[in-house]
Amino acid sequence: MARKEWFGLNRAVLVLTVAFSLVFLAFSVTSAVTYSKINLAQEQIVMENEKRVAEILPNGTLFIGFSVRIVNPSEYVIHVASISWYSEVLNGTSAIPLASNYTTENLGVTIAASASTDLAFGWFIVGDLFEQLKGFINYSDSKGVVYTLLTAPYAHSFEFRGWLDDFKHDYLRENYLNGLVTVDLRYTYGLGET
Amino acid sequence: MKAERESVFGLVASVLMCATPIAFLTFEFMLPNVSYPGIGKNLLVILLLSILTGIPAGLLNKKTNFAIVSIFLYTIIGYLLAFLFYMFPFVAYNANLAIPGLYYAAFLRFTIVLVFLFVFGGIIGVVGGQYLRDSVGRVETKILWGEKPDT
Repeated sequence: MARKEWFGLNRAVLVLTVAFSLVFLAFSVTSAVTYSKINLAQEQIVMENEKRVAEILPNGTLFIGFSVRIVNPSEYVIHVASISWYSEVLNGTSAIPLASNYTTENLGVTIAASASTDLAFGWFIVGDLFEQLKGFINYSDSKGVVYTLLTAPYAHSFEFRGWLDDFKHDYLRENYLNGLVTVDLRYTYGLGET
Repeated sequence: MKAERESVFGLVASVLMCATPIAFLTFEFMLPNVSYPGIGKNLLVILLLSILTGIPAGLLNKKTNFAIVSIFLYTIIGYLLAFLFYMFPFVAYNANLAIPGLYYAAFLRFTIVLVFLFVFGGIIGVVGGQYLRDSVGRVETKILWGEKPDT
């Protein structure tokens, strides 16, 4: 009789422990799968169709532009933290800044899951800056390097930073946790990259 | 012989079943932002759950030495299980390392402190579990063998 009662306790303990164990196993597997999906999303989110534009408009103004497509095949929405683009003309050891554009997180821009977004930036070069650019081209000519407004050594730098979905990303000490859910895409042209 | 078999069963059962909470707590501590549910690296919650994890080990193991051994065993197995979950994307999906450089060493560095917490909490839990087991035994004995009230 006593043994039976003991087995009653053991059985209850066993059932509860199995349930306790399975719940944590489910939590672990769910977390590991989420971790895997995030890792794969990091690889799948890419830039495509990077295009640099230098165009002279009918009124003689120079237009400098850059466009890119952000492809997000993952199941996570990307909350844009910042988008930055700048363009300059390299002049030996210095540079003439031409254009820049910066978008911050406050604007609340998102890129939907399983979607692509085209980003385009443009800047009209007029006035003193235009004169400075023409001066650089004339000076280069005098040194035997022939440039035109369309073929000047325009350099571009573009960076896209975003957070995957609503995963926490404001850790101070554990930076690897921020990096885990961050999308950071960079493109540079003409800045000495190899 | 039968008692010994019961002891071994208790040891194996408690080791297998108590390892999964340890695995989750370790994994969650390493990657709290992608884990569900998020404990948020709260050491007090981890200690309380470690104590809770130790209770079944105390209840299932009649012998105290078996119960103490089970704490070490389930902690080791749980910790290794957490490491497997940590490796999961790279083994199962062939993904690139999310955190380049010393990826596996980072796991050891960030989570090794938990092992002490698991063992400490486990010992408290085992003491509680064995106390509970003895209490239930005493009550059962009293009910079965105690004086019956006059009817």
